[in-house]
Amino acid sequence: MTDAAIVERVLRGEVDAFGLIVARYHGQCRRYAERVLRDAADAEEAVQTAFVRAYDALGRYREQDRFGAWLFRILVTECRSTLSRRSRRDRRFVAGSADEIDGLAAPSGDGALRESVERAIARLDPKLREAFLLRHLEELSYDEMHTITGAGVSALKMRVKRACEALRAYLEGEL
Amino acid sequence: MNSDDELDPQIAQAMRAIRSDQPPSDATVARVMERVRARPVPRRSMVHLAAWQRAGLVLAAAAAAIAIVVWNRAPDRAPAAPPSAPANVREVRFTLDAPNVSRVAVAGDFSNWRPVELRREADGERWTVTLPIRAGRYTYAFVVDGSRWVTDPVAPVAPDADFGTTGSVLVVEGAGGAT
Repeated sequence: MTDAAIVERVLRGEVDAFGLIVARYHGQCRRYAERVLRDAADAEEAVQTAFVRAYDALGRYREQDRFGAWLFRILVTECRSTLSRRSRRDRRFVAGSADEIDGLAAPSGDGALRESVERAIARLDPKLREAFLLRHLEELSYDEMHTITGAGVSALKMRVKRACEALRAYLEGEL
Repeated sequence: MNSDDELDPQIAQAMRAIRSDQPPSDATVARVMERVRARPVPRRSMVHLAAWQRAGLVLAAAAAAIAIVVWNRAPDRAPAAPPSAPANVREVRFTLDAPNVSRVAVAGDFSNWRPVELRREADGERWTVTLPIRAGRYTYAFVVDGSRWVTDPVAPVAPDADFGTTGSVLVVEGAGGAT
């Protein structure tokens, strides 16, 4: 069943059909939120809140929009809000605190390279990390990223470029 | 790296491994569904109907208007009053979930940035207002307790000057999809 068909069912009152949306996009949303927020509990809360906001706004979803990108716009906004609340609460600069990744499950597979990349991503400036994850984790187009973030395509390309350069430099030091 | 956008092979390999992660979803699905079942069923917004749906409603409205005129042309009936809303004006509903606040307003290009108060709904957390807005593209934001500006969490963001976004974008389409 397509996302649009599920949305129509929910708008007709079949509320439980929304669970299909949650199950379909939970992994992708959680994966992104954990790496942006670097805290499993915050990521889980942000993902749940994003789904609830998406539910409330389903009446505004347009079929010509890709549902995943539409949902991600809500998730990105929620993650930004979480970071903003966290910075006001903590009153300290948290970028580069790779050792403070809290609550993330240990990755499986040949972990050494992946762990190094994860650490490098965690050290990125928040703007660069957001752009890098949207481009190279979620594989969104620059047009979709522009719609989601509000930043211009040129600015987004520059952020992704700088993120890639920063990751390369970090890994050259690590490996 | 061959281009600005292309990843080093090692980083690309790590990203593929990260993408293959599938955190279990059952607990999240259950918690989200518990929250949404307690909320009102969302309604389709007129602004965001597909073009064919709007066309269908316009035709239905036109047919109803013709029926009213024909009916009122019977000798003993006065002509029906014309519709008061211009064709390119749409009813737009603004909603913000904001518990534990005293006031919520919305301000944007459509109001010359004068705040328009929202009404708190019975659940005590949701604030809403419906405004007639002419077709066009607008930037807007909510104002909480008279001083705190917040963007609409479910709307596209306006181009940002820095990491803190400045507003949300509203597109109101007129007849035939024109803005």
